[in-house]
Amino acid sequence: MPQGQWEAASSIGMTRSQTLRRIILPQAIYISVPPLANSFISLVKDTSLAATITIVEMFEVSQQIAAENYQPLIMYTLVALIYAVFCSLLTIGQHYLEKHSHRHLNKTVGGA
Amino acid sequence: MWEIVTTSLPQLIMAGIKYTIPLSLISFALGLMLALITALVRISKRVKNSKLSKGSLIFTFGYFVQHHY
Repeated sequence: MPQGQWEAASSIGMTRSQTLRRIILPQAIYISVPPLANSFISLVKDTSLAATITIVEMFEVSQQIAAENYQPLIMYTLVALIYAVFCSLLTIGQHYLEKHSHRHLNKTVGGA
Repeated sequence: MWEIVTTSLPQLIMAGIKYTIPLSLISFALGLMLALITALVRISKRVKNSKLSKGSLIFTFGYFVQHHY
């Protein structure tokens, strides 16, 4: 955040906490939500790696079921579809979060 | 085939809700905390030129290299 934002806020008599709450944080949230949400979605997919240390998460359960019924292709396809649905839902949530986080911006910014 | 799908789908979804989502949330929260601490150390004036700030840079860089390569 430019230092000028803090100076402008203090020039109109805002306290530090008011500046943080009303000016700095909305802009910081607007900037940080997309990469953080992307990281979270990647993290959901990366949790399948926990199966290598025998944490019984979704991928490990699918491996166990595949070992029982000898149908790995079906099981892994099913798990892939479930991960795809999870990530799609998170992407929709990300979209609404981004829309909510920049509602304070003037609609004419960048437009005619 | 559909029998396998219908019998295993509830187990997979339950495992996802019980383990995958909490694991993601906990990892995300821990990562955010670490990132916040690292960022605060980097911008702190008191520890600006100390070994701690240089160490945090090495730690952050090492994590980035490990995570992306």
